[in-house]
This record gives sequence, structure tokens and C-alpha cells, in this order.
Amino acid sequence: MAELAKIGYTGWGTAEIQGGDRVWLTDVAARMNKIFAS
Amino acid sequence: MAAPSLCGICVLLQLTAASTPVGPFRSSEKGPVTSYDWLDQSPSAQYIGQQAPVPSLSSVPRPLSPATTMSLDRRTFLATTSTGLAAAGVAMNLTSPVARAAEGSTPKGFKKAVKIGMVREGATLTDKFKLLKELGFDGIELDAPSAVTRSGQGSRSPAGGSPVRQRHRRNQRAAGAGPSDARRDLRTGLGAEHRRNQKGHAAGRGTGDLDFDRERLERFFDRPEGKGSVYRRLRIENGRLVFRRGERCSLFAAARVGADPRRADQEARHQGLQNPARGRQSGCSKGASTGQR
Repeated sequence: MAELAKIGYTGWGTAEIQGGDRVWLTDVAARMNKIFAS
Repeated sequence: MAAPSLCGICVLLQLTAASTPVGPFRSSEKGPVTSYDWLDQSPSAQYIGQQAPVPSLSSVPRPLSPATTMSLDRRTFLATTSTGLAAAGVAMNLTSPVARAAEGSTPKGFKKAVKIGMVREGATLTDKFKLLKELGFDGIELDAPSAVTRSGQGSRSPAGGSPVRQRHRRNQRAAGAGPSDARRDLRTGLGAEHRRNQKGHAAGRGTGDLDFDRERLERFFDRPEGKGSVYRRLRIENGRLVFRRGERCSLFAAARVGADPRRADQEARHQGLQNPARGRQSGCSKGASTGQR
């Protein structure tokens, strides 16, 4: 994320991992938020 | 995250709230007007189980008095209305409960999305979109080609058939054929096609390209008029539309106009018609050409 910040990228990030139900997707969203916030 | 897949084209759709107002407007206590978008029907919507507040008389726009209208010049009018529209747009976005829950949840201005195949909950695309919106995702990536069909959204054609079908009927009439004539010819011509493919199926030759997939049908009729369009593929004999035998799209067209190819022969016998497709050589589907009757 630091490298992305260097080039000023603020755009889309798509998770391409295994799928799941609502619980799984909630976890994916939380982890993506954690990554984007880092 | 895994490496991006290279197996197809991805289409990223942004899940925006109030981007396409399709229904009646309702009043909101948080702002002047909130779009009644389909995305707002999620369980987190504000007025689930309640009655939406009735707009007060003061919030209903009233026509300007003649004196006010006359005093507005063009520049003032444009400045006023553009400001008002911009404010309304901001209010629509900010006052939507789903928008409040979803937008801004991704930190630092990023937007997060998942692939459509990752969503294992929800029977239709609409359900999946609602779920992702509820969970705070900003978008969804669709694959192309994929198994996701337009009918998977649960959408229904308007009364009188889809616009594509209505255009098809208009063109039939313009070609000098009444709807009943065109349908009869389609049925007659397609009956041979159907039998031919039944023989191919019995002989072990696949007929996978002759299914009744709705999306393929609509794609076929959505092609622009001109080269490759359905009417270039049709032969007009005696003012009536006749499908060439062996046309790969014949069954698609039959299903699209509601013809039942299984009854083609029966109806042709009743009307004393010779099958117009009889004895013609297959035109385009060499692989499925089995009907040398």
C-alpha cells in the first residue's frame, strides 16, 4: 500500500479469492478495509 | 489477493445508490428527496416495516407565479436550477441509508469489489448486488463470457414484449408480412430445423448450439440492422418471411417470436402448405448438417 501511495493511486481493488456466503464476504470486506487502511 | 485471472474479460460494475432513479420518489426526513432505487430495498433500508412519512405541503414544489416567472432571465434561471439540481444530487446520495452504510466504508478513497463468482449467496444477480451493497462493497466484477444470464436478474419484459420483439414485429409488417404469416412461416421453416437437429441428436451429434438460451436470443435480435442482422438471414418469398433451412439461429428466432417448432408440420398440413425449407441445402451450420432427408 505504501508503494501505491507513492504513485497516488486511489482506485478499485478487487478480491479474487475463493467465494462464500454472507459471513465469508463480510470477513473479506473487513480484511480489504484493513489492507487499504494500512 | 490472488493473481488476476486471465481467462476472460472482466466488467466492473459500481454499486451506486440513487444512480438510476426508476420508481416514484419518496420523502425523507434527512433530505428533501430520496430516490426510490431498487438498491434501497435491502434489509438495512430506512423504512422497512414502517410507513414512509408523507411529504408536507411545504416540500411539494409549486409552480412559480407569473410575476416570478417573468422576473427570471435566462442566466438567473440556469444558475438557480443548476445549483438546485446539484444540491438535490448531493442530498440523494447522502440521504440514502444504503449509501450511508456503504460509501466511505473503504478507507483512503479506495473502492473494493469482488468477483461475481465469489458471491455464493443470493439466487439472482439482484440479490447478490444487494448483499454486496449491504456488506459495504463498492462494486462487482462480472466475467465475460460467463454463466450469468440476463434472466438471472429476474427482470421481466414489459407488456407487449420486449422492445426487441416489438421491433421485430414492426419489421415483419414493413416487409409485407402480417404477424400471423410470419409466425406461420417461422413455424413451418423451423419445424424442419427441429427435426433435423433431432436426427443429429439421435446420431450422437451435438446440438448444443441450438438451445433456447434467452440471452443468446436477445443478443441475436439486438444486432444492428444491416450485415448479419436477422433480416439479411431471412428470405422474403411472396411477401412472406421464410427462414433458410439450416440457419443456426432458426430455433432462437422461433422461440423469440413465440413459435413452437414442434407444431410446424401439423400446422403446415392443416393449411395445405408445403414446407418451404424442404429440399434446401444447409446454409451455415456444416457441423450440425444432418438432415439430408
